[in-house]
Amino acid sequence: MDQQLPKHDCRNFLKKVFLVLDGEIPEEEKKLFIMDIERCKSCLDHYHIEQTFKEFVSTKVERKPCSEKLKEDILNQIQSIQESE
Amino acid sequence: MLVENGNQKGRKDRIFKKEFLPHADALYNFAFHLTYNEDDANDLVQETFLKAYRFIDSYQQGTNAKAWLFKILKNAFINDYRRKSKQPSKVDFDDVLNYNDTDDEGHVEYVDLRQELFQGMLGDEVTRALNELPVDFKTIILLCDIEEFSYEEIAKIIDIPIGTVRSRLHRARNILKEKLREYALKEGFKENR
Repeated sequence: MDQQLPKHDCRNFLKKVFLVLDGEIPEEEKKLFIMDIERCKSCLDHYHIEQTFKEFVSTKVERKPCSEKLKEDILNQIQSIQESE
Repeated sequence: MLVENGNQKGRKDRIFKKEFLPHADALYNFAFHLTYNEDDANDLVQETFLKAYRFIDSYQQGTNAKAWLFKILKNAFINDYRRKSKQPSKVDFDDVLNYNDTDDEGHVEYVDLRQELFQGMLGDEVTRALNELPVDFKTIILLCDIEEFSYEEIAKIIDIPIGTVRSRLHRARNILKEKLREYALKEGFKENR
């Protein structure tokens, strides 16, 4: 399978790693990317670090929900607008 | 005529409740991180929904309501901040709103943050680091990593080319990593390289 891949270039990793992690490239291209970096321990390690960092940010950043009161206030204001239309 | 008005109102009401209101939590979260103030976030979300209702005819039913609402909120936020920046003793927000992006993808700067440095961090520290980022950088991380919008959607929400989304996101992540490294080192974590 390796024979189908071009020579590994670490600069290619840097150009594509975030596109892969952000779901911006097709699945087939992603598979080729993973196969390519599996040949380089340094790139593979960095890929796992970036993957963990993205998951870490998305799960650790506090999420604040909208209060029920605010939703009610908004609906009441919309109702007032509708009544005046 | 009365029946027509009634149908029109019913249609608007259905769109508002079924397609707009379910995004209230995501919009509030975005507003809170942009303003870091509950009252300002409440005002911003309220303003967003009222504007969305007012311009509901320009929304195509069944399309991407979430991205449409986020764009309204982002514009309202920028307008509010531009207004506030003209008042004395307020922060000069032009500094943070007019960041110069580069689309230079030939040069890729990479900030390496060891996994063990950030893995033990608490949500509070990460939230604080994110909230301390200049608003353009904070916005792009919130849209991509928290709300999981695609680059194309982000480009439309903040009115920048996709290449700029890529470069700004990359820069934002590097700055966030630098901040987290500072926090970790302050907490006494030693880097072993």
